[in-house]
Amino acid sequence: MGKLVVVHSFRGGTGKSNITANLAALLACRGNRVGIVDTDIQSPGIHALFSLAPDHFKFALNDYLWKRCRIEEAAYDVSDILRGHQPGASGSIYLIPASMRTGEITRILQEGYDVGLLNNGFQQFMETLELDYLLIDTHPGVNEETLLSAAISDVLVIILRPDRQDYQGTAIMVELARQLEVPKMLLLINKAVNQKDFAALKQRVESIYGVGVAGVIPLSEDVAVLGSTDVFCLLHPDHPMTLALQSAIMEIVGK
Amino acid sequence: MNSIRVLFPIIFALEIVVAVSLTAAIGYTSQMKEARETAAEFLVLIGGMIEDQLDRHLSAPTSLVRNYAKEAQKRPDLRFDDLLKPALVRNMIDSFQTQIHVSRGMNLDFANPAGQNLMLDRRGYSKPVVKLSDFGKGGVISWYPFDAFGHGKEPQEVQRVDYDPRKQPYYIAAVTERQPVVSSVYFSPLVKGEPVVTVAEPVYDGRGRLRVVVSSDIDLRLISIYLQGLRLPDGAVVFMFDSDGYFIASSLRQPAAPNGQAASRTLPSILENQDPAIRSMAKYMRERFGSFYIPEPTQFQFDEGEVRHYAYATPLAEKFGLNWKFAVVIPETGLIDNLLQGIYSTAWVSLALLIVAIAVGLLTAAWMINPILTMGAVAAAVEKNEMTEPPLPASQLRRDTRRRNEFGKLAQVFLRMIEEIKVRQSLLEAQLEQLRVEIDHEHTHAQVRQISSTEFFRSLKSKARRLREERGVA
Repeated sequence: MGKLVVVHSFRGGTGKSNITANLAALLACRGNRVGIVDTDIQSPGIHALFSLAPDHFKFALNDYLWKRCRIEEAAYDVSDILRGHQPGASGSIYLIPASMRTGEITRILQEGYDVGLLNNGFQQFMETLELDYLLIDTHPGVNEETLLSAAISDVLVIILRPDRQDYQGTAIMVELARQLEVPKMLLLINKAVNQKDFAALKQRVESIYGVGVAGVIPLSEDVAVLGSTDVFCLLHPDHPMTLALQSAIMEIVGK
Repeated sequence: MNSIRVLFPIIFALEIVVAVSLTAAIGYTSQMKEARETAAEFLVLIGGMIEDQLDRHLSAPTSLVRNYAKEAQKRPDLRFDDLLKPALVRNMIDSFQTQIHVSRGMNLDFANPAGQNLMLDRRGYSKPVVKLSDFGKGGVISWYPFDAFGHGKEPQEVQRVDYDPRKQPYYIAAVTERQPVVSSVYFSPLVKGEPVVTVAEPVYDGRGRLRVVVSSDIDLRLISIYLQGLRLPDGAVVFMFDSDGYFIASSLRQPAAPNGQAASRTLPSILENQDPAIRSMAKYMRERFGSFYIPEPTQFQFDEGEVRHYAYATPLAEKFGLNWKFAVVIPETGLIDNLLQGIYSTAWVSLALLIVAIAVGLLTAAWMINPILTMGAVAAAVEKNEMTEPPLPASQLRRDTRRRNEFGKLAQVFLRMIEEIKVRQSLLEAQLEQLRVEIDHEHTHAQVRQISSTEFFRSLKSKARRLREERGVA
């Protein structure tokens, strides 16, 4: 049975989808079969990083939640991007995107969905495609879906930026995750400034939250320039961001 | 603090003032020098001209007298009474008419030892007259028109004086010297008491007896009239005097009023002249030279009141035996009026230029200083950490960066420096923020409690535990 890795952040704009895609790519580079589910139904976007155009996917997570398809029917093999950069890579990446159709998004917002069905879907996705890792890109904040995802996760990766609001929100999520008895929690600090302070920052955050900081990702102009058009780590394997994410991978995989 | 905004224009203005003043001073000095030299040259020139003219005034009567004396010499049998014969007088009149074209104020006189006198003169009338007198018959002077003379008509005018030519200075001098003479100045009854000098030559017979004295008067009034006709600079005076300081003639319209009465009359002294410039010059000459005897052309300056005068004095008519002097006096103001006018104009133009220059200086100073002030204001804002919002100095600084000179480059560097400071400050603040990991635990607990107390959460918690157990996750 594969590991369920939930990537969450208390606020939007922390780079959650970007980090999820990069973590998935790095795991796949290690020969793993990796799945990604974009549960950020209200503002989906991870498919863009894998160059998966909305017109090209017949089903999305929304279709599964409305029982229009099986979960595996909404999964798309986006491994090409992996092999585009690393031809010898043996891993695979399967992505279940959220629908970009406005009507679907509105319906979810208005009617909600069966959270239990989502959980079943995760299991079924992992089993059907024999995934080693399933990465869940969650909606930011605390709601039923994110709590469920966190609750059933094997590893909860919380992304935060080094500012006061994120510190406060992350503290709430960490405490809730503790109460949900999440087996493993990791913090990833994104968009940090001045690399000279990273060690001090990591130490300070770990001492405050009592949770390990898997990596400190610097605020990078390179990342901003690339935007959501590609998977950064595959393009820049030696970039400080890639190194920080590799460090997180070590934690996820388990040393 | 002395603001550069004030100091700079002051220095600029001072430089201009000094430059303009120096230029004006140098110009004034050189122009004054030139003016004085021009004045001196003018004095010499006008002195020479007048001397020439006067020479002509004196030469013409001399040659006239000379000619008639020779003629009389050639005709030893010619008696004085013959002169009164119409035919001879007619000839003389024709000849004299020709002569006086040379010098219009000239006359011709014959006097014999018997006290008879005949004068051909044209002064005082539009036509020449013959003036006859005979001391033996009372000395009355009868004036006859030329045309009527010798036709027994009545005289046109009769001067009831007891005129005796033998007592006249010229006559006495000629007889005494027995040669051509020029008399000193005297007041001749023949010309109605006007001051004259007379050129005279005695004519003797074969036995050395005086036959006649031929003479011609030089009327000092005519010299004055000539001098008054000269075109002189404003305030300039030309006058003549003799070695004793007696006034002879001047360019001023002032009569040579005699002192005293009749035969004892004398010329007025230039020390008492009604013109202050002549008076002052006379006093100056007396003080400087001790007398009015000036042996050679002399230039000098003297002050009359607060006005400086340039003077030129030279001996005149020495070859005629006259100790006359001629002087030209020109006040400095008259000489340099044009110069001063030019200087005043220059001064006004300089003043206008100075004002313009100061205005330009102020604008230039402002143009040059403003960027510095702006940078100072921006630096002060940076110092006070007031650069978070774009303040006015920063926008001015951006405007200054568009200058295409060193200030523009400086402003560009300064602006980049400010931007860099802002970036670094932002970075520093971000660093401080990210290290300031502060959590409101009370708030956190409240939020967590609010969520964890829900049925959903409790259910989720147990459900998650069960699911993990099913998946075999520890």
